[in-house]
Amino acid sequence: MVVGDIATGTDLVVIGAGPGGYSAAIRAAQEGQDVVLIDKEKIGGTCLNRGCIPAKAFIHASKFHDDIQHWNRIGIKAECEHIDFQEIKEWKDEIVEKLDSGVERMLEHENVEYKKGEAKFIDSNSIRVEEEHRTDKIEFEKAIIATGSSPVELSGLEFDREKVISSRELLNLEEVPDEIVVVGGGYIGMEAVTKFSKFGATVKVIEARDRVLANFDEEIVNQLQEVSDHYRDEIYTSAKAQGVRYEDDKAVLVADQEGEKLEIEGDYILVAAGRTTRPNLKSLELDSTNVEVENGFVQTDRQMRTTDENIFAVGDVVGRPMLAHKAYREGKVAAEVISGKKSAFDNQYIPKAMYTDPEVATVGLNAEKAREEYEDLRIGRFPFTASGRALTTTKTDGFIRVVARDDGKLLGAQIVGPRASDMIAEAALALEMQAYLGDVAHTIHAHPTFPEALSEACEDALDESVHTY
Amino acid sequence: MITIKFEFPDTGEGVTEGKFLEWNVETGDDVEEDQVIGEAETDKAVVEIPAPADGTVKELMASPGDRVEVGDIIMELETQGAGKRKKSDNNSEQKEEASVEEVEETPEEEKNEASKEDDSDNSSESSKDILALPKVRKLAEEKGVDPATIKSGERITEEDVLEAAEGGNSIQSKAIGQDSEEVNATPSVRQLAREKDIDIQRVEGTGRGGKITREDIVKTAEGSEEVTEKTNKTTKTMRSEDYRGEVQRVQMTGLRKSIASKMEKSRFTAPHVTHVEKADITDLADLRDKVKNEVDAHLTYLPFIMKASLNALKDYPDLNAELDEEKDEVIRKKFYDFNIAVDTDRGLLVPKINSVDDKNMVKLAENIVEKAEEARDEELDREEMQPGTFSITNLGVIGGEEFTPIINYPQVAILGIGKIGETAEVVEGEVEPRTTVKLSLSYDHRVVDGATAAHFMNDLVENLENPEELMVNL
Repeated sequence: MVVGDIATGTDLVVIGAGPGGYSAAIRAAQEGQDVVLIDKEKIGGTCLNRGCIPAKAFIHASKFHDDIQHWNRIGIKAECEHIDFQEIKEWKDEIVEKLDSGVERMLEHENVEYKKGEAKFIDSNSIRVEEEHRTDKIEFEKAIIATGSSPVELSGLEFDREKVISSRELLNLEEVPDEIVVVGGGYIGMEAVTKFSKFGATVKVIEARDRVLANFDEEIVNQLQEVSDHYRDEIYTSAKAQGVRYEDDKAVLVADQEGEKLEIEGDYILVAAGRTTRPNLKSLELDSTNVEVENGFVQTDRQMRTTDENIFAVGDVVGRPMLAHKAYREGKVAAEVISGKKSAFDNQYIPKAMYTDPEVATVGLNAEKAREEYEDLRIGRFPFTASGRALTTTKTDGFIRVVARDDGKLLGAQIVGPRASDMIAEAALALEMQAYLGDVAHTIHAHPTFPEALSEACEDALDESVHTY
Repeated sequence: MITIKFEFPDTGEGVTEGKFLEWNVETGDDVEEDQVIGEAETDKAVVEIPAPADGTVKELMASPGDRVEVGDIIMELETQGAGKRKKSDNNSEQKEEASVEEVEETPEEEKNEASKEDDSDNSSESSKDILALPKVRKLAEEKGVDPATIKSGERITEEDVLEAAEGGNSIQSKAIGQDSEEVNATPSVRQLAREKDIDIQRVEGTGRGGKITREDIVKTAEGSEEVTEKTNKTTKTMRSEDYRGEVQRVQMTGLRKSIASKMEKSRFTAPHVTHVEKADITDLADLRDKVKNEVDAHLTYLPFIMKASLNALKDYPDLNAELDEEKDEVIRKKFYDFNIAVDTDRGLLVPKINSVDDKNMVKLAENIVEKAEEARDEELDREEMQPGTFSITNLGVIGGEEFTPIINYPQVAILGIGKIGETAEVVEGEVEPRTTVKLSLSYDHRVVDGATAAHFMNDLVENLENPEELMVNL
């Protein structure tokens, strides 16, 4: 039943309840704003419901194989009796549910009104929310666009949700398939490899460029490929996906590898060729506002203000990197600016983490980029084979590398190894604090721990290392 | 391609001109921003001239030996874009001490159009040039004033900027720029800057590697000048590192720094003249020999000279005075407190002997010994170090016939006592060995004229040469 337009008024409307949107809503409410949060799906957005969190849950579960091997090697004889994938999935859903309800409670606590529906701008002061059974018109002082992004759809490989799927469906598979074809050798594709290879699936990756993980240092990728066959075997580079053919129960990916035709068969074809904001912006009907969109991204200043003075934007819709932690910060900045605070997204460093095995995490400049700007560099490296803590867990693959100016000022860090995603935090803090090598090297790190490796790498850059040469 | 007209930079501290010494570059050379491209000598120091931007030297417009004034164009530099640093920095021009006028090579028509809009007498090259010294530009930035909006064609002064700033003619920090690149400050300091409405890009960091500290922001917010002073210091790099041999650097003590700043203040505030006169103190010497055993105190010549000075000061009160520069009044003092220079291990101290006119010779002698000892033992309290009304320095005890003492500012005169000894003098047509001393009086010519000083010295010498009168007060 469509009731028609019932106009209500509010200080702030936030469109999209992912990390950028919900953090903006809560933060603005804390600052005394009257906030309405709108999402056409569940609170939590891609990250909580169909991205980072469920993916990490699976990746954790998939470690069982290595873990059992590890126990056996050190004298604890055990074996995997049975894998109940359904139960793993339920456990994953529980985690997601817990996080979602946590956010819901926060929203309730701060009196943020949540509406499930699709928002469309009427003008720079009002939106229409199309809910299941009604349409509301909301007049606002300010609005924040936080509608995120969606997986890129490739022509010839349109998502059919059955065989040609995106990361979203992959995380909801009912059982471990025998074969998965992944189109796109970026971090989403490689994390898919991590999850499903370990559950016994054969994961084949086709990548258009001449190597996978092209956004990461070659040395890091080499290290990954050295450690695990999964990142090396069944990888087809310089191959362009062209279409799909269905054969019995299988889907066959047709691709062109430097002029030669490739046919790769799988139970599913996962298209992980990047993410786009276009569908997420389109439904907003931004033409009714003064918001400018360029190359698919909403143009904002450092205070997350768009070209429309009443409208702000945060998260994936404003640009790369499309990462939840960037969105969190932007959401808070937008909320604070709207509340009259002098905040700005002035962050100089955005860390990146990839949950391969071993993990990869980077922040700041790598050596190659640093060389474009500085003639002389100090580079320090520490392999986890020299880390006492790594040895006690038999996780010794990988290294930490730090890059600094000749005078010691840190420029960046790259980690491939156990707990890289945790260790990158210290490097990011050091960088934002404008630290020099000595600051990290001469800070006492608890022993034996993984993060010691960062201080060791800094010592190496200072030629002071007592554990490497 | 942009041609930068590079002006002789303002090195600060009121230096307005200098002598151009040499170029380190030639026409056609590629230079990097901040590279030392030449040297000039001001009356304070030899200064290195840094290139204002990366670019190619188009023309050198000053030659070694030229007198150059601040603002004179000494070089033309061709750059790609606006003074861009290797590390991104959109404010490089503003950070520079050197004054830079950027003249974009615009088509003739545009230039004409621009000058049509501006009716003022256009004697300078281009109407959109902003004529302002770097420190004025800097001030404009601090006040958020766009110099271009003040006036063109004429030189913009600091007053103009302040006026414009007060009149609200300011450009608000431009929506906190688009790019958040490379601010050398921690996140919370960046936030503090925003809260205090300070464009952090324009704050000169005093921390390691130019890091902008919390204190820098607080100081900038308070309008403190310390930050600006810092920049003056950094560009005025003295060529102090080119020693041929080994050197030792000794940190100045607090006392040393205090002496230095007092001397500098005096020397550059009061125009000094030193008047030297010889006194024949043979009779005084005899007298002193006679009485010195009769008193307990160690009776040097100093008490006699103090008494003689006192008598002369009473006749010429302008020497026991001080100048009130703001009111243009001379303050003549009706009390007589003398500072006596004392050499100590730490450096020069000037303990004060109060009310010289109320004390007899013996009392003065005791006082001097007491104060000198206190000074050497670091026991002088603040009050005793306060400036008196007249100073005496007895350097001759160590050596030196005559010298030019520096006035103990804000006093207006200081008496230097030279070495006391026997010299050959003509007495009634005969050469005789006599005990003499040369007295050097430095005085502030703003207050005291040469004639007054000469009369004072004649009076003083007469007092010393006829000690009986002095002895009345013993």
